[in-house]
Amino acid sequence: VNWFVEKVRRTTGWTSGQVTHTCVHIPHQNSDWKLLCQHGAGYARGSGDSGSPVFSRVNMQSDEVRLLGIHWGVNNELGVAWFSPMSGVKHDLGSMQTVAPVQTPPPSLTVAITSPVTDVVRPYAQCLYGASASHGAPPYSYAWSVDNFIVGSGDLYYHTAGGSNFLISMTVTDANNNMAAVARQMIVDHAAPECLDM
Amino acid sequence: MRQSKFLAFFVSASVALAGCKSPVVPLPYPEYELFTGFVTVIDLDRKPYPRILVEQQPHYLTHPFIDPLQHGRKTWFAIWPATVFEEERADGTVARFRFRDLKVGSRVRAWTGHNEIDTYPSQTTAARIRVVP
Repeated sequence: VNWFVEKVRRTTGWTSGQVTHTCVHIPHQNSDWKLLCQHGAGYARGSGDSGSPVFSRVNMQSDEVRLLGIHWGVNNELGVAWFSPMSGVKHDLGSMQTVAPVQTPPPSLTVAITSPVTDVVRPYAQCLYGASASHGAPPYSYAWSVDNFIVGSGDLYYHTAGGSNFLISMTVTDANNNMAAVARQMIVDHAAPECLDM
Repeated sequence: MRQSKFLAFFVSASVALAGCKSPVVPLPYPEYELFTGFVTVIDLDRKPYPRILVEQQPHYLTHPFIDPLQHGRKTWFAIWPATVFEEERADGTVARFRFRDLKVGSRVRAWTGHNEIDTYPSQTTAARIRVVP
């Protein structure tokens, strides 16, 4: 209830409204049957709109929508438009391509070097480098490299700078052997702030 | 003696009830006036209940490009045993009317007592049909 739904069809076009009734059993016209578990909403409709797709937006910024049901009628006294939910349609007709759930790929493994906070360090300064992996399947294994030589493991690593700039990189591997890498070009400068352990 | 009188009453009452017609099934919703239009079709062969087509503007044919919002409503009304028929006379009084006396071309006010199915023409059940001048 209160979910915002929309419909498009020949008579009243594109209209929208809030869901007001869920899973109502409605007497069928001219028989003893009942339409089981129908939903009602407040969108405008008219004669000829039967069969309209009733849908909601996956998010308001995109055109991607989720098909919720099929409009078929109205209770004029209550001002409620009725639609059959797709769950009932699938129950009667079986699974359909049109209602296949959207397969959203899981977010891929990412890693970030979170410390030090600047890319500038003093010559010969020992600094704590930290990495953080996200998404993917834990547990993660971490590997640190400096100028393409592997120098350490774990999500934290102390490195003592030399007198010249260097490239520090982190490669993370998750439980499914997915890998992600990130690198930072570090500048060695006497004017750099002191390293602070984060 | 008293017991036998009671038994006789019970038996006669049971026989009388058994002889009654089954009660008229009421419509599922309170009646709600839809519109006034002209009867253009009386379909007595429709099962399980006959139906009538009522059109606001009958000169517009039922066609996919006809717009109900501009060209008037067209609705099939199923006639249930519970449907009430009335006739409004010129002096404003309303009297009972019989379905069999309804004629194509009659101007009627129509009330529904059911959901309206959004086909075109739409379909619903008549709670009340009042023939008007």
